[in-house]
Amino acid sequence: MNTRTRVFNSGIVFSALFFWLTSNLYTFAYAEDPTHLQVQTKLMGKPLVVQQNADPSVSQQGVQTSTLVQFLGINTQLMNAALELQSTTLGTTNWYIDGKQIWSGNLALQSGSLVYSGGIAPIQIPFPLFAYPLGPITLEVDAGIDFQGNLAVHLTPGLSIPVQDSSLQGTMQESLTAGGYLEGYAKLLIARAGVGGKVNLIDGSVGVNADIFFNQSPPTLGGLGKVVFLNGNVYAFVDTIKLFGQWNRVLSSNLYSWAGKCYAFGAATCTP
Amino acid sequence: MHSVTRVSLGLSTLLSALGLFHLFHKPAQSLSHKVKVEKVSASEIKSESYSFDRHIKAVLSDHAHGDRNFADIRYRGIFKIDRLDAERARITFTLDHQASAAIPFEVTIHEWTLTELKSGATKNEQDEESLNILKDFAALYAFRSQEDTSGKYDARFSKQGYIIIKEKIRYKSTLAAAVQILKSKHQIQLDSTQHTLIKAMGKETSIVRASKSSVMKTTSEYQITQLGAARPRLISTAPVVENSLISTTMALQASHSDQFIPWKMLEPKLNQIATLPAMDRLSLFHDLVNTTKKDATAFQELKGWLSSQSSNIEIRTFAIGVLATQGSEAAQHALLEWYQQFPESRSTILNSFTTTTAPITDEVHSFLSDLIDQKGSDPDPAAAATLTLGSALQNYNRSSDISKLQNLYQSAQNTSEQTLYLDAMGNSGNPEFLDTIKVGLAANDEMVRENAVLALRLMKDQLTHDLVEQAWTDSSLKVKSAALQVIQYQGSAGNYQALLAQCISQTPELKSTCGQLL
Repeated sequence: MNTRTRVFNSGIVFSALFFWLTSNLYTFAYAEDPTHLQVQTKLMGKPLVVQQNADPSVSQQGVQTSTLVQFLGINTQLMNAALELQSTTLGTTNWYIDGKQIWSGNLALQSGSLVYSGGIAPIQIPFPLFAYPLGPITLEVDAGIDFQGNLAVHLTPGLSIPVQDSSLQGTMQESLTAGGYLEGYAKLLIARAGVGGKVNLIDGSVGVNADIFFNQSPPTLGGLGKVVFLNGNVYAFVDTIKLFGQWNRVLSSNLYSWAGKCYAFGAATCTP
Repeated sequence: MHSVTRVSLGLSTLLSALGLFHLFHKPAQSLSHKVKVEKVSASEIKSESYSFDRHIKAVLSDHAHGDRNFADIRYRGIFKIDRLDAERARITFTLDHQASAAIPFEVTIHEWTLTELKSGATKNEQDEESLNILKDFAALYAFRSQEDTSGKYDARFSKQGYIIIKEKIRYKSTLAAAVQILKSKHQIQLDSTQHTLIKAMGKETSIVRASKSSVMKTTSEYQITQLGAARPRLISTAPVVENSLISTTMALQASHSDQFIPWKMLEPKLNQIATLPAMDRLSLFHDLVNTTKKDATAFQELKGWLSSQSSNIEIRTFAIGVLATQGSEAAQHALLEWYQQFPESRSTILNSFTTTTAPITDEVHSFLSDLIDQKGSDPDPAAAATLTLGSALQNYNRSSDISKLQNLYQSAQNTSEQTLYLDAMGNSGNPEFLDTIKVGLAANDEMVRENAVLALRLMKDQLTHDLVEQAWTDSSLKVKSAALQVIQYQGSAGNYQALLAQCISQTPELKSTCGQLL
């Protein structure tokens, strides 16, 4: 084998190795519509869904975004935000977390731009406990969502003549980290069992680029940032007791194991 | 003695010893199967029911109110199968209970036809577990009809669909566990059906006998014993039907795990918090909440650590989340101290009181009331406190707060104030505000009507449904759009099929939203 062939072959091997490594980290996805993302799967027989939507407001003078999560079959509107433009120098935002409004007010005018920036401390959205039969033991399973989010709105007027044709270029960016957790453990005299794990529902900074026109034309929206949905592991085990109090694992099972799905827009990339 | 004789004597001694060993050494594993047989008439199997009566001491966890109660509960559950004809069966599931404490759950009665089961129709999203069980019924009906035509399966079983059904359901989880145990410990290849399991264990039993006029109905109980150990051990008794019933109504277990990660293992991670990726930071948050809820010492340690780090606003925000979620009286008191100490974190602290599911303490309640009363001098904190007070009503029902928000709405000076108070009512999800919300729905101002509709987002009763439909008839597109947002929040698009269909055909501006909801 000559040197050129060796280099060529090692290139193929390297490329294959690189592809294998990266493809195991994330499932890449190229969204046809970057403003409506949805990833859907199942966990313990129940739907596991994450949706990230961005739409023009009814007045066509704003943008509204929503992040919906269906974890263990329970629907949660994790975060909703809306931006509505009143004039070139006045805009309002509304911000909801888990259905509760935490902010409603005007954007601030800073250096010619309209801005809002806010963040919430991490929160926990607990679900009702449920029982899960695992082999010989019924587990009391504690589940819910841990979540932290930030919202940043930035609008810069792009004035032109005539004024009614003017537009605002802006971004509405949400940094979201949400993890679904699942914990259950029970112990009887001769057997013990557990179920546990985490599903990273959303991890990343996702948003929308918007051009809002004052002539009532619908805003143009585009995707922004990078986000990974639904990677994680949930496992279950059953142990029975042996002589002298030692435990013997008789069941060990992955209920959920997925590298997730990654979306990237603009300059962002899914490659770690 | 001749050498050949010596050899044969030796061999026979060895064989005898082996025989004796086999005689006295039984296999380490066995499966016992107790069968109770009773005779019933064939006509009875047209309508079959399985019921159980169970008395348990339960721990009731109510996250909405953030506490746990103990209760003695008596369940009575019935699965009833009415065979309509060869292809159709109606399966009804009812559950009744008596409990020593008031339990906030509803007794539900569901009814499915076989066709619905096969198509995966569900009456209640939360009830998927029992639906899965009922799907087993459907599968077994299908199974039975296949066996009838092929004739390959044991004829004794093929005549007795109901009996198979009953046993399949009762022992589904037990058998799955048994098969798993046997596979892993004894390398026995088994199917997960009851019949092959029994056969593989050499315990094949004539479970059912049938004649034209009668069947022998059986009640079975399996015990797996002597799995590689000297003494018999009971592995499983839990019938899956009861488990499913429990899981579809509320979570119960007489014991609860008190596991937590000790503070000394969390502290090193906490020291690296600034460099942790967002998801790892969230995991640390989760563990800290869990540990400080269960270990008072850890809570004190955390407070000490935080006081040394409080100049870092990012860490402080993280800590505010831990304290608000932990939710104890001491944690809420600490947050109020920080409110005074760190003006730049005030809105974060108020938002944390809004988003937490822990009930606010009397101290926090007074603090919020004072802020609201100071709205003239400090409008922003007053507005945030109003939203927080509304949200707090999700976790307790304080009539004075309901009256306060109602009065504030009535005395509102402008549209902005009216919408704020409607937003606060919306945060509560409390139907006691419906009368005030109705007033908002009739307002002249479009923005007030829009916010009045949005205030229905966390309410789910019939009156709310009617008000959403009423809002849809409003001439304003913004109000209509708000109605759609409420439907989305409630996750109840199925209850508004006609409205959504009308929206798609008659409201082009909202067609896409309605299409997604539908």
